[in-house]
Amino acid sequence: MNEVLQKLNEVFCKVFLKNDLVIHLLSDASNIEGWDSLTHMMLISETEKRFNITFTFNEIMAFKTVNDMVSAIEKHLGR
Amino acid sequence: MQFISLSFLCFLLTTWVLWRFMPKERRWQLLLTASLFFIGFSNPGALLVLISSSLLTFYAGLSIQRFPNRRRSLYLFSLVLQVSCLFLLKYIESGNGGLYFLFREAGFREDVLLFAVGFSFYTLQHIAYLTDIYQKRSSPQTSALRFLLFSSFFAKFNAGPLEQTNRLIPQFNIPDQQPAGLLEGINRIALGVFKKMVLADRLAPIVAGIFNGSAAAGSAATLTGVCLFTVQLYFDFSAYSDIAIGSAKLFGIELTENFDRPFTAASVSEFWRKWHISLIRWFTTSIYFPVAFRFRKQKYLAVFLGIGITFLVSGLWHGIGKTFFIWSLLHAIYLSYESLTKQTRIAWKNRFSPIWYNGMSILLTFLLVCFSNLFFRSANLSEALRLLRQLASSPFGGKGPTEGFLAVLAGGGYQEALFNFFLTISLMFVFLFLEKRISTWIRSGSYAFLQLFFLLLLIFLAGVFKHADYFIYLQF
Repeated sequence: MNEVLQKLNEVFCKVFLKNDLVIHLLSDASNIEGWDSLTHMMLISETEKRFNITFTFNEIMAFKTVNDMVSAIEKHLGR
Repeated sequence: MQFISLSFLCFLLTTWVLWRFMPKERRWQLLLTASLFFIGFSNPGALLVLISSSLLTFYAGLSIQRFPNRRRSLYLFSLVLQVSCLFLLKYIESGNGGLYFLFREAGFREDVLLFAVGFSFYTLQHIAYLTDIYQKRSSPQTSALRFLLFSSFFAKFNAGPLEQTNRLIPQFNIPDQQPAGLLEGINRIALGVFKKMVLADRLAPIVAGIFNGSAAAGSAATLTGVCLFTVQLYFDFSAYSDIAIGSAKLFGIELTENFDRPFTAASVSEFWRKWHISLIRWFTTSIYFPVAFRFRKQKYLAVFLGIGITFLVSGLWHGIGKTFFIWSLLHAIYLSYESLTKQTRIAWKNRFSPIWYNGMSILLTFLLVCFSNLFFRSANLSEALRLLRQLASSPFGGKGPTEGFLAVLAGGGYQEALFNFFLTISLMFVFLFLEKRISTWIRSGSYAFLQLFFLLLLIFLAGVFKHADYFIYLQF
Protein backbone atom coordinates (compact mmCIF):
# COMPACT_ATOMS: atom_id res chain seq x y z
CA MET A 1 0.00 0.00 0.00
CA ASN A 2 1.51 3.36 -0.96
CA GLU A 3 1.90 6.17 1.53
CA VAL A 4 -1.03 8.25 0.25
CA LEU A 5 -3.37 5.26 0.26
CA GLN A 6 -2.25 4.33 3.75
CA LYS A 7 -2.92 7.82 5.12
CA LEU A 8 -6.23 7.94 3.25
CA ASN A 9 -7.15 4.62 4.83
CA GLU A 10 -6.70 6.24 8.25
CA VAL A 11 -9.04 9.06 7.20
CA PHE A 12 -11.67 6.52 6.10
CA CYS A 13 -11.31 4.66 9.43
CA LYS A 14 -11.83 7.94 11.31
CA VAL A 15 -14.85 9.12 9.26
CA PHE A 16 -16.59 5.74 9.18
CA LEU A 17 -15.65 4.97 12.82
CA LYS A 18 -14.29 1.59 11.84
CA ASN A 19 -10.70 0.82 12.82
CA ASP A 20 -10.47 -2.37 10.77
CA LEU A 21 -11.65 -0.77 7.52
CA VAL A 22 -9.30 -1.53 4.63
CA ILE A 23 -9.67 0.43 1.39
CA HIS A 24 -8.31 -0.41 -2.04
CA LEU A 25 -7.83 1.70 -5.13
CA LEU A 26 -11.00 0.29 -6.64
CA SER A 27 -13.10 0.76 -3.49
CA ASP A 28 -16.18 2.91 -4.05
CA ALA A 29 -19.52 3.80 -2.46
CA SER A 30 -20.95 0.41 -3.38
CA ASN A 31 -18.48 -1.57 -1.27
CA ILE A 32 -17.88 0.77 1.66
CA GLU A 33 -20.90 0.75 3.93
CA GLY A 34 -22.11 4.23 4.81
CA TRP A 35 -20.29 6.08 2.02
CA ASP A 36 -22.96 8.29 0.47
CA SER A 37 -23.51 11.96 -0.33
CA LEU A 38 -24.02 12.71 3.37
CA THR A 39 -20.68 11.25 4.50
CA HIS A 40 -18.82 12.21 1.32
CA MET A 41 -18.33 15.81 2.40
CA MET A 42 -17.02 14.73 5.84
CA LEU A 43 -14.55 12.52 4.02
CA ILE A 44 -13.45 15.42 1.80
CA SER A 45 -13.02 17.75 4.76
CA GLU A 46 -10.98 15.20 6.77
CA THR A 47 -8.84 14.32 3.74
CA GLU A 48 -8.05 18.00 3.10
CA LYS A 49 -7.06 18.40 6.75
CA ARG A 50 -4.93 15.24 6.83
CA PHE A 51 -2.96 16.10 3.67
CA ASN A 52 -3.12 19.90 4.13
CA ILE A 53 -4.55 20.42 0.65
CA THR A 54 -7.71 22.02 -0.83
CA PHE A 55 -9.72 20.21 -3.46
CA THR A 56 -11.61 22.08 -6.17
CA PHE A 57 -15.35 21.55 -6.57
CA ASN A 58 -14.86 19.84 -9.93
CA GLU A 59 -12.38 17.42 -8.39
CA ILE A 60 -14.77 16.27 -5.69
CA MET A 61 -17.59 15.94 -8.24
CA ALA A 62 -15.39 13.59 -10.27
CA PHE A 63 -14.52 11.30 -7.32
CA LYS A 64 -16.04 7.90 -8.01
CA THR A 65 -13.43 5.58 -6.52
CA VAL A 66 -10.61 5.70 -3.98
CA ASN A 67 -8.24 5.75 -6.95
CA ASP A 68 -9.72 9.09 -8.10
CA MET A 69 -9.08 10.52 -4.63
CA VAL A 70 -5.51 9.19 -4.50
CA SER A 71 -4.75 10.65 -7.95
CA ALA A 72 -6.12 14.07 -6.94
CA ILE A 73 -4.17 14.04 -3.66
CA GLU A 74 -0.93 13.10 -5.44
CA LYS A 75 -1.52 15.90 -7.94
CA HIS A 76 -1.92 18.42 -5.11
CA LEU A 77 1.18 17.08 -3.38
CA GLY A 78 3.10 17.47 -6.64
CA ARG A 79 3.91 13.76 -7.02
CA MET B 1 -51.22 14.82 -25.36
CA GLN B 2 -51.66 12.25 -22.59
CA PHE B 3 -49.48 9.14 -22.68
CA ILE B 4 -52.48 6.86 -22.15
CA SER B 5 -54.68 8.02 -25.01
CA LEU B 6 -55.62 6.99 -28.51
CA SER B 7 -54.01 10.15 -29.88
CA PHE B 8 -50.65 9.24 -28.29
CA LEU B 9 -50.87 5.69 -29.63
CA CYS B 10 -51.51 7.04 -33.16
CA PHE B 11 -48.72 9.59 -32.71
CA LEU B 12 -46.25 6.94 -31.53
CA LEU B 13 -47.11 4.49 -34.32
CA THR B 14 -46.93 7.13 -37.06
CA THR B 15 -43.65 8.55 -35.74
CA TRP B 16 -42.09 5.10 -35.47
CA VAL B 17 -43.13 4.05 -39.01
CA LEU B 18 -41.80 7.32 -40.47
CA TRP B 19 -38.62 7.01 -38.37
CA ARG B 20 -38.06 3.41 -39.53
CA PHE B 21 -38.19 4.36 -43.21
CA MET B 22 -36.35 7.67 -42.85
CA PRO B 23 -32.68 7.85 -44.01
CA LYS B 24 -30.62 7.15 -40.91
CA GLU B 25 -28.77 10.47 -40.86
CA ARG B 26 -32.07 12.41 -40.87
CA ARG B 27 -33.88 10.46 -38.18
CA TRP B 28 -33.08 12.98 -35.46
CA GLN B 29 -34.80 15.67 -37.53
CA LEU B 30 -37.94 13.56 -37.63
CA LEU B 31 -37.77 13.10 -33.86
CA LEU B 32 -37.47 16.89 -33.47
CA THR B 33 -40.48 17.55 -35.73
CA ALA B 34 -42.51 14.87 -33.91
CA SER B 35 -41.54 16.26 -30.50
CA LEU B 36 -42.52 19.82 -31.45
CA PHE B 37 -45.83 18.49 -32.79
CA PHE B 38 -46.36 16.50 -29.57
CA ILE B 39 -45.97 19.69 -27.51
CA GLY B 40 -47.76 22.10 -29.84
CA PHE B 41 -50.67 19.73 -30.49
CA SER B 42 -52.35 20.49 -27.21
CA ASN B 43 -50.52 23.57 -26.06
CA PRO B 44 -49.06 26.02 -28.61
CA GLY B 45 -48.11 28.37 -25.76
CA ALA B 46 -45.84 25.73 -24.24
CA LEU B 47 -44.11 25.31 -27.60
CA LEU B 48 -43.33 29.02 -27.78
CA VAL B 49 -41.89 29.05 -24.27
CA LEU B 50 -39.88 25.88 -24.93
CA ILE B 51 -38.26 27.21 -28.11
CA SER B 52 -37.41 30.57 -26.49
CA SER B 53 -35.98 28.93 -23.38
CA SER B 54 -33.96 26.36 -25.36
CA LEU B 55 -32.45 28.91 -27.73
CA LEU B 56 -31.61 31.23 -24.85
CA THR B 57 -29.87 28.37 -23.03
CA PHE B 58 -28.06 27.20 -26.15
CA TYR B 59 -26.64 30.65 -26.98
CA ALA B 60 -25.91 31.39 -23.32
CA GLY B 61 -23.85 28.17 -23.22
CA LEU B 62 -21.87 29.20 -26.29
CA SER B 63 -21.35 32.74 -24.97
CA ILE B 64 -20.12 31.52 -21.56
CA GLN B 65 -17.33 29.65 -23.33
CA ARG B 66 -16.67 32.31 -25.97
CA PHE B 67 -16.40 35.33 -23.63
CA PRO B 68 -14.23 34.28 -20.64
CA ASN B 69 -14.29 37.79 -19.13
CA ARG B 70 -18.06 37.87 -18.98
CA ARG B 71 -18.74 34.21 -18.25
CA ARG B 72 -19.78 34.81 -14.63
CA SER B 73 -22.26 37.59 -15.46
CA LEU B 74 -23.61 35.63 -18.44
CA TYR B 75 -24.11 32.53 -16.32
CA LEU B 76 -25.76 34.42 -13.48
CA PHE B 77 -28.02 36.35 -15.86
CA SER B 78 -29.19 33.12 -17.55
CA LEU B 79 -29.65 31.41 -14.22
CA VAL B 80 -31.69 34.25 -12.71
CA LEU B 81 -33.82 34.44 -15.86
CA GLN B 82 -34.56 30.71 -15.87
CA VAL B 83 -35.32 30.56 -12.15
CA SER B 84 -37.52 33.69 -12.31
CA CYS B 85 -39.49 32.25 -15.23
CA LEU B 86 -39.86 28.96 -13.38
CA PHE B 87 -41.37 30.56 -10.30
CA LEU B 88 -43.42 33.04 -12.30
CA LEU B 89 -44.96 30.29 -14.44
CA LYS B 90 -45.51 28.01 -11.47
CA TYR B 91 -47.25 30.90 -9.75
CA ILE B 92 -49.42 31.43 -12.83
CA GLU B 93 -50.22 27.75 -12.91
CA SER B 94 -51.18 27.62 -9.27
CA GLY B 95 -53.88 30.19 -10.03
CA ASN B 96 -53.42 32.11 -6.81
CA GLY B 97 -54.06 35.45 -8.44
CA GLY B 98 -51.29 37.87 -9.36
CA LEU B 99 -50.07 37.54 -12.91
CA TYR B 100 -52.52 34.76 -13.67
CA PHE B 101 -55.41 37.01 -12.69
CA LEU B 102 -54.07 39.87 -14.85
CA PHE B 103 -53.66 37.61 -17.90
CA ARG B 104 -57.15 36.16 -17.45
CA GLU B 105 -58.68 39.61 -17.05
CA ALA B 106 -56.88 40.67 -20.24
CA GLY B 107 -58.82 37.98 -22.10
CA PHE B 108 -56.29 35.12 -22.31
CA ARG B 109 -57.86 31.67 -22.38
CA GLU B 110 -57.03 29.54 -19.34
CA ASP B 111 -55.73 26.60 -21.39
CA VAL B 112 -53.31 28.89 -23.21
CA LEU B 113 -52.12 30.11 -19.84
CA LEU B 114 -50.90 26.64 -18.92
CA PHE B 115 -47.48 27.48 -20.33
CA ALA B 116 -45.71 25.66 -17.57
CA VAL B 117 -46.44 22.11 -18.80
CA GLY B 118 -43.06 20.43 -18.88
CA PHE B 119 -41.35 23.75 -18.20
CA SER B 120 -40.17 22.90 -14.71
CA PHE B 121 -38.51 19.71 -15.98
CA TYR B 122 -36.62 21.08 -18.94
CA THR B 123 -35.65 24.22 -17.04
CA LEU B 124 -33.80 22.05 -14.50
CA GLN B 125 -31.98 20.37 -17.38
CA HIS B 126 -31.09 23.77 -18.85
CA ILE B 127 -29.73 24.99 -15.51
CA ALA B 128 -27.59 21.84 -15.13
CA TYR B 129 -26.33 22.26 -18.72
CA LEU B 130 -25.24 25.88 -18.14
CA THR B 131 -23.71 25.05 -14.76
CA ASP B 132 -21.61 22.25 -16.28
CA ILE B 133 -20.31 24.66 -18.93
CA TYR B 134 -19.69 27.45 -16.41
CA GLN B 135 -17.78 25.10 -14.11
CA LYS B 136 -15.88 23.72 -17.13
CA ARG B 137 -17.10 20.19 -16.67
CA SER B 138 -18.38 20.03 -20.24
CA SER B 139 -18.33 21.94 -23.53
CA PRO B 140 -21.39 23.63 -25.07
CA GLN B 141 -23.35 21.88 -27.79
CA THR B 142 -22.72 23.12 -31.30
CA SER B 143 -26.09 22.43 -32.93
CA ALA B 144 -29.08 24.52 -31.86
CA LEU B 145 -31.56 22.08 -33.39
CA ARG B 146 -30.07 19.04 -31.67
CA PHE B 147 -30.16 20.98 -28.41
CA LEU B 148 -33.82 21.80 -29.08
CA LEU B 149 -34.47 18.08 -29.57
CA PHE B 150 -32.70 17.40 -26.27
CA SER B 151 -35.08 19.83 -24.53
CA SER B 152 -38.23 18.79 -26.35
CA PHE B 153 -37.83 15.01 -26.85
CA PHE B 154 -41.44 13.90 -26.48
CA ALA B 155 -40.78 10.80 -24.38
CA LYS B 156 -39.35 12.80 -21.49
CA PHE B 157 -40.82 16.27 -22.10
CA ASN B 158 -43.69 16.40 -19.63
CA ALA B 159 -42.20 14.90 -16.49
CA GLY B 160 -38.71 13.56 -17.18
CA PRO B 161 -36.59 11.53 -16.56
CA LEU B 162 -34.14 14.43 -16.35
CA GLU B 163 -31.28 13.86 -18.76
CA GLN B 164 -27.84 15.32 -19.44
CA THR B 165 -26.90 16.56 -22.90
CA ASN B 166 -23.71 14.46 -22.97
CA ARG B 167 -25.70 11.31 -22.37
CA LEU B 168 -28.76 11.95 -24.55
CA ILE B 169 -27.61 13.89 -27.62
CA PRO B 170 -25.07 11.26 -28.82
CA GLN B 171 -27.92 8.74 -28.80
CA PHE B 172 -29.84 10.74 -31.43
CA ASN B 173 -27.16 9.55 -33.86
CA ILE B 174 -27.70 5.86 -33.13
CA PRO B 175 -29.57 4.78 -36.23
CA ASP B 176 -30.50 1.15 -35.68
CA GLN B 177 -32.87 -0.52 -33.32
CA GLN B 178 -32.60 -4.24 -32.69
CA PRO B 179 -35.87 -6.24 -32.72
CA ALA B 180 -35.25 -7.33 -29.10
CA GLY B 181 -35.02 -3.68 -28.03
CA LEU B 182 -38.20 -2.90 -29.88
CA LEU B 183 -40.12 -5.65 -28.10
CA GLU B 184 -38.64 -4.60 -24.78
CA GLY B 185 -39.85 -1.06 -25.45
CA ILE B 186 -43.37 -2.22 -26.28
CA ASN B 187 -43.50 -4.38 -23.15
CA ARG B 188 -42.16 -1.56 -21.01
CA ILE B 189 -44.97 0.67 -22.28
CA ALA B 190 -47.50 -2.11 -21.55
CA LEU B 191 -46.06 -2.44 -18.04
CA GLY B 192 -46.52 1.30 -17.53
CA VAL B 193 -50.11 1.19 -18.76
CA PHE B 194 -50.75 -1.77 -16.43
CA LYS B 195 -49.29 0.06 -13.41
CA LYS B 196 -51.36 3.16 -14.21
CA MET B 197 -54.71 1.67 -15.20
CA VAL B 198 -54.79 -1.43 -13.04
CA LEU B 199 -52.93 -0.30 -9.92
CA ALA B 200 -52.68 3.51 -9.59
CA ASP B 201 -56.15 4.37 -10.89
CA ARG B 202 -57.73 1.61 -8.78
CA LEU B 203 -56.04 2.97 -5.65
CA ALA B 204 -57.00 6.58 -6.52
CA PRO B 205 -60.66 6.50 -5.30
CA ILE B 206 -59.70 4.73 -2.04
CA VAL B 207 -57.08 7.41 -1.34
CA ALA B 208 -59.37 10.26 -2.45
CA GLY B 209 -62.11 9.08 -0.07
CA ILE B 210 -59.75 9.48 2.89
CA PHE B 211 -58.03 12.72 1.81
CA ASN B 212 -61.17 14.50 0.63
CA GLY B 213 -62.97 13.63 3.83
CA SER B 214 -65.96 12.20 2.02
CA ALA B 215 -65.88 9.25 4.44
CA ALA B 216 -65.81 9.65 8.23
CA ALA B 217 -62.72 7.59 8.96
CA GLY B 218 -61.10 6.35 12.17
CA SER B 219 -57.35 5.98 12.64
CA ALA B 220 -57.10 2.53 10.99
CA ALA B 221 -58.78 3.59 7.74
CA THR B 222 -56.91 6.93 7.71
CA LEU B 223 -53.53 5.25 8.22
CA THR B 224 -54.34 2.78 5.43
CA GLY B 225 -55.46 5.60 3.10
CA VAL B 226 -52.34 7.66 3.83
CA CYS B 227 -50.07 4.64 3.21
CA LEU B 228 -51.96 3.74 0.04
CA PHE B 229 -51.38 7.26 -1.31
CA THR B 230 -47.60 6.70 -1.29
CA VAL B 231 -48.11 3.40 -3.13
CA GLN B 232 -50.49 5.11 -5.60
CA LEU B 233 -47.97 7.90 -6.19
CA TYR B 234 -45.26 5.31 -6.84
CA PHE B 235 -47.35 3.31 -9.31
CA ASP B 236 -48.56 6.48 -11.02
CA PHE B 237 -45.17 8.10 -11.46
CA SER B 238 -43.21 4.92 -12.18
CA ALA B 239 -45.91 4.07 -14.77
CA TYR B 240 -45.25 7.41 -16.43
CA SER B 241 -41.49 6.71 -16.36
CA ASP B 242 -42.02 3.18 -17.79
CA ILE B 243 -44.01 4.60 -20.72
CA ALA B 244 -41.39 7.31 -21.26
CA ILE B 245 -38.48 4.85 -21.15
CA GLY B 246 -40.36 2.31 -23.31
CA SER B 247 -41.32 4.95 -25.91
CA ALA B 248 -37.71 6.16 -26.17
CA LYS B 249 -36.51 2.56 -26.49
CA LEU B 250 -38.63 2.16 -29.65
CA PHE B 251 -36.27 4.69 -31.23
CA GLY B 252 -33.11 3.10 -29.82
CA ILE B 253 -32.75 5.71 -27.07
CA GLU B 254 -32.00 4.75 -23.47
CA LEU B 255 -33.43 7.13 -20.87
CA THR B 256 -32.32 7.16 -17.23
CA GLU B 257 -34.13 4.76 -14.91
CA ASN B 258 -36.15 6.79 -12.42
CA PHE B 259 -37.11 4.19 -9.79
CA ASP B 260 -35.41 1.21 -8.18
CA ARG B 261 -37.99 -0.49 -5.93
CA PRO B 262 -38.09 2.35 -3.36
CA PHE B 263 -40.21 0.43 -0.84
CA THR B 264 -37.26 -1.88 -0.14
CA ALA B 265 -35.25 1.07 1.24
CA ALA B 266 -34.05 0.58 4.82
CA SER B 267 -33.45 4.30 5.45
CA VAL B 268 -34.84 7.57 4.12
CA SER B 269 -31.49 8.39 2.48
CA GLU B 270 -31.63 5.03 0.70
CA PHE B 271 -35.25 5.78 -0.26
CA TRP B 272 -34.10 8.96 -2.00
CA ARG B 273 -31.53 6.97 -3.96
CA LYS B 274 -34.36 4.79 -5.27
CA TRP B 275 -37.18 7.33 -5.83
CA HIS B 276 -37.27 9.81 -8.73
CA ILE B 277 -33.58 9.09 -9.21
CA SER B 278 -32.95 11.61 -12.01
CA LEU B 279 -34.46 14.53 -10.07
CA ILE B 280 -32.65 13.62 -6.85
CA ARG B 281 -29.38 13.41 -8.79
CA TRP B 282 -30.07 16.92 -10.09
CA PHE B 283 -30.74 18.27 -6.58
CA THR B 284 -27.68 16.50 -5.15
CA THR B 285 -25.34 17.76 -7.86
CA SER B 286 -26.77 21.25 -8.29
CA ILE B 287 -27.69 22.22 -4.73
CA TYR B 288 -26.55 19.80 -2.02
CA PHE B 289 -22.90 19.40 -3.10
CA PRO B 290 -22.22 23.11 -3.83
CA VAL B 291 -23.68 24.14 -0.45
CA ALA B 292 -22.02 21.33 1.53
CA PHE B 293 -18.70 21.93 -0.29
CA ARG B 294 -18.72 25.62 0.57
CA PHE B 295 -19.27 24.93 4.28
CA ARG B 296 -17.32 21.64 4.45
CA LYS B 297 -14.97 22.83 7.22
CA GLN B 298 -18.00 23.02 9.52
CA LYS B 299 -18.59 19.24 9.07
CA TYR B 300 -22.11 18.40 10.34
CA LEU B 301 -23.30 21.97 9.84
CA ALA B 302 -22.31 21.66 6.16
CA VAL B 303 -24.39 18.51 5.80
CA PHE B 304 -27.39 19.99 7.64
CA LEU B 305 -27.26 23.19 5.59
CA GLY B 306 -26.92 21.20 2.38
CA ILE B 307 -29.87 18.96 3.24
CA GLY B 308 -32.01 21.86 4.51
CA ILE B 309 -31.50 24.08 1.46
CA THR B 310 -31.89 21.15 -0.95
CA PHE B 311 -35.25 20.13 0.47
CA LEU B 312 -36.41 23.72 0.81
CA VAL B 313 -35.81 24.19 -2.93
CA SER B 314 -37.35 20.77 -3.66
CA GLY B 315 -40.47 21.72 -1.65
CA LEU B 316 -40.73 25.04 -3.53
CA TRP B 317 -40.26 23.25 -6.84
CA HIS B 318 -43.17 20.92 -6.04
CA GLY B 319 -45.44 23.77 -5.03
CA ILE B 320 -45.81 26.96 -3.06
CA GLY B 321 -47.63 26.35 0.20
CA LYS B 322 -47.37 25.41 3.86
CA THR B 323 -47.96 21.70 3.20
CA PHE B 324 -45.00 21.45 0.80
CA PHE B 325 -42.86 23.37 3.30
CA ILE B 326 -43.73 20.88 6.06
CA TRP B 327 -43.03 17.98 3.67
CA SER B 328 -39.56 19.36 2.89
CA LEU B 329 -38.88 20.15 6.57
CA LEU B 330 -39.76 16.58 7.57
CA HIS B 331 -37.35 15.11 5.03
CA ALA B 332 -34.61 17.53 6.09
CA ILE B 333 -35.11 16.33 9.68
CA TYR B 334 -35.15 12.64 8.67
CA LEU B 335 -31.93 12.94 6.66
CA SER B 336 -30.13 15.10 9.24
CA TYR B 337 -30.99 12.54 11.93
CA GLU B 338 -29.74 9.72 9.70
CA SER B 339 -26.54 11.62 9.00
CA LEU B 340 -25.91 12.12 12.72
CA THR B 341 -26.65 8.51 13.66
CA LYS B 342 -25.23 6.69 10.64
CA GLN B 343 -22.41 4.90 12.45
CA THR B 344 -24.58 4.06 15.46
CA ARG B 345 -27.14 2.50 13.13
CA ILE B 346 -24.47 0.46 11.36
CA ALA B 347 -23.33 -0.80 14.79
CA TRP B 348 -26.94 -1.72 15.70
CA LYS B 349 -27.33 -3.51 12.42
CA ASN B 350 -24.31 -5.66 13.21
CA ARG B 351 -25.54 -6.34 16.73
CA PHE B 352 -29.10 -7.48 15.90
CA SER B 353 -30.38 -10.13 13.54
CA PRO B 354 -29.98 -8.57 10.05
CA ILE B 355 -33.37 -9.89 8.88
CA TRP B 356 -35.24 -8.31 11.79
CA TYR B 357 -33.22 -5.13 11.72
CA ASN B 358 -33.67 -4.68 7.98
CA GLY B 359 -37.36 -5.59 8.13
CA MET B 360 -38.04 -3.07 10.90
CA SER B 361 -35.96 -0.41 9.12
CA ILE B 362 -37.88 -0.91 5.86
CA LEU B 363 -41.22 -0.64 7.70
CA LEU B 364 -40.15 2.45 9.63
CA THR B 365 -38.80 4.12 6.47
CA PHE B 366 -42.06 3.43 4.64
CA LEU B 367 -44.12 4.89 7.50
CA LEU B 368 -41.93 8.00 7.73
CA VAL B 369 -42.24 8.60 3.99
CA CYS B 370 -46.02 8.04 4.16
CA PHE B 371 -46.28 10.50 7.03
CA SER B 372 -44.49 13.19 5.01
CA ASN B 373 -46.67 12.41 2.01
CA LEU B 374 -49.75 13.14 4.10
CA PHE B 375 -48.70 16.79 3.78
CA PHE B 376 -47.61 16.35 0.14
CA ARG B 377 -51.08 15.13 -0.88
CA SER B 378 -53.21 17.40 1.34
CA ALA B 379 -54.77 20.30 -0.54
CA ASN B 380 -54.11 22.64 2.39
CA LEU B 381 -52.98 22.71 6.00
CA SER B 382 -56.48 22.32 7.44
CA GLU B 383 -56.95 19.08 5.47
CA ALA B 384 -53.62 17.78 6.77
CA LEU B 385 -54.58 18.71 10.35
CA ARG B 386 -57.94 16.93 9.97
CA LEU B 387 -56.08 13.79 8.84
CA LEU B 388 -53.71 14.07 11.82
CA ARG B 389 -56.72 14.31 14.17
CA GLN B 390 -58.22 11.26 12.49
CA LEU B 391 -54.93 9.37 12.97
CA ALA B 392 -55.16 10.10 16.70
CA SER B 393 -58.80 9.00 16.96
CA SER B 394 -60.20 5.53 17.78
CA PRO B 395 -59.27 2.77 15.26
CA PHE B 396 -62.71 2.38 13.70
CA GLY B 397 -64.31 5.75 14.55
CA GLY B 398 -66.49 4.21 17.28
CA LYS B 399 -67.96 1.61 14.93
CA GLY B 400 -67.21 -2.03 14.16
CA PRO B 401 -64.34 -3.10 11.85
CA THR B 402 -66.67 -3.73 8.92
CA GLU B 403 -68.46 -0.40 9.09
CA GLY B 404 -65.58 1.68 10.47
CA PHE B 405 -62.81 0.30 8.27
CA LEU B 406 -63.88 -1.75 5.26
CA ALA B 407 -66.93 0.32 4.39
CA VAL B 408 -64.90 3.55 4.64
CA LEU B 409 -62.14 2.34 2.32
CA ALA B 410 -64.34 0.32 -0.02
CA GLY B 411 -66.76 3.09 -0.98
CA GLY B 412 -69.67 2.11 1.28
CA GLY B 413 -68.84 -1.59 1.61
CA TYR B 414 -71.34 -2.86 -0.93
CA GLN B 415 -70.58 -6.21 -2.51
CA GLU B 416 -69.16 -4.86 -5.77
CA ALA B 417 -67.14 -2.15 -4.01
CA LEU B 418 -65.73 -4.72 -1.56
CA PHE B 419 -64.76 -7.01 -4.41
CA ASN B 420 -63.00 -4.14 -6.16
CA PHE B 421 -61.22 -3.15 -2.96
CA PHE B 422 -59.89 -6.65 -2.27
CA LEU B 423 -58.94 -7.13 -5.91
CA THR B 424 -56.99 -3.84 -5.87
CA ILE B 425 -55.18 -4.63 -2.62
CA SER B 426 -54.37 -8.18 -3.76
CA LEU B 427 -53.01 -7.00 -7.11
CA MET B 428 -50.99 -4.33 -5.34
CA PHE B 429 -49.34 -6.78 -2.91
CA VAL B 430 -48.72 -9.40 -5.60
CA PHE B 431 -47.08 -6.79 -7.82
CA LEU B 432 -44.96 -5.29 -5.04
CA PHE B 433 -43.71 -8.71 -3.91
CA LEU B 434 -42.95 -9.86 -7.43
CA GLU B 435 -41.77 -6.49 -8.76
CA LYS B 436 -38.09 -7.43 -9.06
CA ARG B 437 -38.93 -10.63 -10.94
CA ILE B 438 -41.45 -8.87 -13.18
CA SER B 439 -38.98 -6.09 -14.06
CA THR B 440 -36.20 -8.61 -14.77
CA TRP B 441 -38.59 -10.72 -16.84
CA ILE B 442 -39.77 -7.75 -18.89
CA ARG B 443 -36.20 -6.59 -19.52
CA SER B 444 -34.93 -10.07 -20.36
CA GLY B 445 -36.95 -10.07 -23.57
CA SER B 446 -37.64 -13.81 -23.32
CA TYR B 447 -41.24 -14.77 -24.08
CA ALA B 448 -41.83 -11.17 -25.16
CA PHE B 449 -45.11 -11.85 -26.92
CA LEU B 450 -46.41 -13.88 -23.98
CA GLN B 451 -45.51 -11.03 -21.61
CA LEU B 452 -47.33 -8.53 -23.78
CA PHE B 453 -50.39 -10.76 -24.07
CA PHE B 454 -50.46 -11.31 -20.29
CA LEU B 455 -50.15 -7.59 -19.51
CA LEU B 456 -52.81 -6.61 -22.05
CA LEU B 457 -55.14 -9.28 -20.68
CA LEU B 458 -54.72 -7.94 -17.15
CA ILE B 459 -55.29 -4.37 -18.36
CA PHE B 460 -58.52 -5.32 -20.13
CA LEU B 461 -59.75 -7.46 -17.25
CA ALA B 462 -58.83 -5.26 -14.30
CA GLY B 463 -58.03 -1.82 -15.75
CA VAL B 464 -59.92 1.37 -14.95
CA PHE B 465 -61.28 2.77 -18.20
CA LYS B 466 -64.06 5.07 -17.05
CA HIS B 467 -62.14 7.45 -14.83
CA ALA B 468 -58.58 7.31 -16.12
CA ASP B 469 -56.83 10.06 -14.16
CA TYR B 470 -54.05 12.37 -15.28
CA PHE B 471 -50.58 11.41 -14.15
CA ILE B 472 -50.07 13.04 -10.77
CA TYR B 473 -46.57 14.34 -11.54
CA LEU B 474 -47.69 16.32 -14.58
CA GLN B 475 -48.82 19.08 -12.22
CA PHE B 476 -45.22 19.72 -11.16
